[in-house]
Amino acid sequence: MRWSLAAAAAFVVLATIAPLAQRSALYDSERQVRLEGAVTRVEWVNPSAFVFIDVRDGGGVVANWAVEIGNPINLERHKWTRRSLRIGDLVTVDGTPARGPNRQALARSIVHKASGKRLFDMPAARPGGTGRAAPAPRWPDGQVRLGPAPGQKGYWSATGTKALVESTAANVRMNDEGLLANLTDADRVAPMLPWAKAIYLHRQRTQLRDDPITRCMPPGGPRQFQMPNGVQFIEQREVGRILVLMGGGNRNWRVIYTDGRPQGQAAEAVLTYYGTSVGRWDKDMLVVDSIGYNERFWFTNGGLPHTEALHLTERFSRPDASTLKYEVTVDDPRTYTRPWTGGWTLQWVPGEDIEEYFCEEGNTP
Amino acid sequence: MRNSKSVIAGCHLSLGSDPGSDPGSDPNRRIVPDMRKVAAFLIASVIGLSVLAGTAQEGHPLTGTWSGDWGPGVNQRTHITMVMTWDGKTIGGTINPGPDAVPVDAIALDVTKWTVRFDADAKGASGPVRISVEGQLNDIASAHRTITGTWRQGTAKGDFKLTRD
Repeated sequence: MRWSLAAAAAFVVLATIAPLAQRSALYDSERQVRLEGAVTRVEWVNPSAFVFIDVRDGGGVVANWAVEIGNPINLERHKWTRRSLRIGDLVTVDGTPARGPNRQALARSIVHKASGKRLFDMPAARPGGTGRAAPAPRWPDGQVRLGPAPGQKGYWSATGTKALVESTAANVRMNDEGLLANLTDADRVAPMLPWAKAIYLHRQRTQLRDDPITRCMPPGGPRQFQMPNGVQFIEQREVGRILVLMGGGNRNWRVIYTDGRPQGQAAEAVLTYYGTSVGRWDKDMLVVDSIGYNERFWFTNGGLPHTEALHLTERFSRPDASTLKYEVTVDDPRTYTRPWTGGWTLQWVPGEDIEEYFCEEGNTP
Repeated sequence: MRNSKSVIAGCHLSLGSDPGSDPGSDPNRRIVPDMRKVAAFLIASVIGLSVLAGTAQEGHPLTGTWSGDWGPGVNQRTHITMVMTWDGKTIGGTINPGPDAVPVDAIALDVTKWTVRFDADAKGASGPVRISVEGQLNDIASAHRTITGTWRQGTAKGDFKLTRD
């Protein structure tokens, strides 16, 4: 009986809550909703926590709504805990409703109805640049460190990055997920071949709903530097490699070999999400050459396509302790008419270890 | 009936509520599956299916191996396996790779309508047999997207459906 009940409960949950997806695809930002009711449940789960409330409509019918309140790690940083709301609390929620029939909303604010106290405001993503602009830390031989100085902690935050766009394209407006404000800007994003542009526009028109990352596929290519919870570099100079650890990627890591080995031949590569990377230092800049990517992921927010011919040249530099400049040249002649370059800046988050979350497909409560 | 364990797809499924006991020794005793292992098996199956469903090919929409059939009616179908490639300029292909392979030099894809068209010459008993195919690419975001349309082979004509493996 217990198993039957558990299975039934799981079915109800899966049936009533839309699976994890790009927010643009899940929520209709053109509409707003106000919900008033009593809290029935709080689900403190990765990658997004939910509050459930019973809402009575004008006809007296009560319906249970799932209200998404964001990533628990980010919430805890803003002093919000799983006990901030108690079962039975009467609240007013302002938010964005889900597309379609699901009784689900993304909260913008939650107000305690009796006291009028504002319990929750959707916290902004973690601000970057909190560290002082001190000189970049260096190894004893003078080479710039990409990780923390000895005895210190910190990691790189991807806050502020949107989608990879050719650096010559100015003022391409898009949201944080890379959804263009104006589809006519597609030609300025990257020099795509006709099939690639058609696929890109299809992904844009469908609000990125088919993004493999919503099925917990690894964020290969430049996208690893766009993930929530940031990245960390572990420089293992004694064995000639650099590990790139991702906070938001199911403990994925990428290896950049710096031991002087040559890049392999593309035809021999075992195709993976992170490719095969070899790096070398050019003064204070790490230049990384990567091939051997499979075609099972989107290499940036926004849905730009690629093929197995993808060849990336990434350049990392750290002009000061708080800033990591990331630039990447994309060369994929099966997808783009010519090589093109884009990039962004990551900010150092001092004094903290990278925090990881684990994506599970459909892991809403 | 000494059947305390069975194996389903590598998952050991106990059929005895009391580990170590012999259910065959008591004919009135019901054989109750170990619910934890049943649940673990079911969960693993769901996760496995989810992973399979999640490994879509996100590159050029035609590249890869496709399989399906064509024919003039539901009772007259001919199996097809087709491999398509994209080199940056041309979409090439092979129908039924193997000793009877039919090379396809150029496959036309109209990305404004997602229509596909190609011609090829198969070996016939009395000479080459012309194959002409026109189809519609459906559900381009799916790992198992399909092409459906009309298949002409010699004087025969029928419908076809190819599904990307």
